[in-house]
Amino acid sequence: MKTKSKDETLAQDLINIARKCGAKDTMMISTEKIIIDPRVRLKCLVPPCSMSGICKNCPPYGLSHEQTMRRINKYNNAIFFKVEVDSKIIADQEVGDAFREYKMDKSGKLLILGAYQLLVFQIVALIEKRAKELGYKPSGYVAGSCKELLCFLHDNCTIMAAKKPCRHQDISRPSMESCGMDVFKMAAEVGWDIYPIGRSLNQDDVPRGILLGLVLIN
Amino acid sequence: MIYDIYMEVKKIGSDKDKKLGSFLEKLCQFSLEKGATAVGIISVNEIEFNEENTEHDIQNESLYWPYVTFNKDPISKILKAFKKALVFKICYLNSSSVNRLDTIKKVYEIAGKGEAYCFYNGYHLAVSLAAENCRTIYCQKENDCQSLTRGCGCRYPLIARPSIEACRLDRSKIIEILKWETDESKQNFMGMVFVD
Repeated sequence: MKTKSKDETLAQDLINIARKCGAKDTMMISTEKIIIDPRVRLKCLVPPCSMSGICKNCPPYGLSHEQTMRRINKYNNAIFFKVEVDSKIIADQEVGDAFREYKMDKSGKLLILGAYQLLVFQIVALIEKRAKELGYKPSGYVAGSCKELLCFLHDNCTIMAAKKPCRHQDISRPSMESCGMDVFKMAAEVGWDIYPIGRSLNQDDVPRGILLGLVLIN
Repeated sequence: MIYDIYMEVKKIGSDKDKKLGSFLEKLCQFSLEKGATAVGIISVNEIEFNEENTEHDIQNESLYWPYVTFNKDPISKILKAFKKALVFKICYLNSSSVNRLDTIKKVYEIAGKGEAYCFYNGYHLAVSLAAENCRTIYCQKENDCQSLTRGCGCRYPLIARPSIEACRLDRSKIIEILKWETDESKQNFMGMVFVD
């Protein structure tokens, strides 16, 4: 009987966590497959995303792509996972408009989208927790801005407004894209279907949306 | 304005599936249909950047004016990562009865729609530039540029854009490369879409 390597055992342990929590697909990838592109952060800044500038994790703040590359270079492997979201939720125009205007939509779908986004945050946090228990120093990255998800009921990011520690240090993490990771390309390269979702599309043209998370492990 | 049209969306594929040449032709046609007077494709490595600062009017300072200065994301360096860009212009006759402001807003509209066209056709990192100072175009009645306040976002996310000059591109060099004629009776408002 072939004995599993330490890396394989670790991968299976962490992948199981993501799957049990609701990730549709999870894999361990080499950090060589993480695609960093300086143009990704520029997409947050030109034109300015509604989240841009309002929290410490998002551009123009957060990690530059060079800082991200230096961090990634300290690791060999990462857990990469996806959470699928019905296109009726993620590609709904009213949801997008409500999101950009910092208010709730009439049907409450933004709340549902927030729940999916929170799931990504939770999976990342749980994978990190398990990896730490096993003696590793993981570094997690989520999907979307932490401010409008975790601090929706607060006027501002406490780090930026009051120079105080983050309200949600246990779960708040920078998004993959805010660190310069080309999430679209990474998903396509591992064979996951990913569609560019925005205001100008018909949601019926998109089978589903996905939210992605990554945890650097070892 | 920018979102009043639906676009067909394509799944993100690998680089080998992209056919940049034919896509750029379609983008040119798209821009002309949206109201551009003339379009041209330029190789980004031909573009010159002017890194010198000049004196400016502090009163109308905005996130994108007079220069785009993201410390962690130097824009001229990032724009050089692109290979090809669409340049378009709208000619405005100085004697025209059409509102000058409306003409400049048209540049923003074409830039935004051109960028969206790229985004939905697999060029998800495309970025566009418009004309003049977005603050004087969209926030002229406001006291400030909201983005300049720490912790606040732009009043017009997804619409505001920097101008070609604010990103330190040499506009006259671009006109020279494209062999566009200059006519003093007309003012040319230019925009760009950096595609891939």
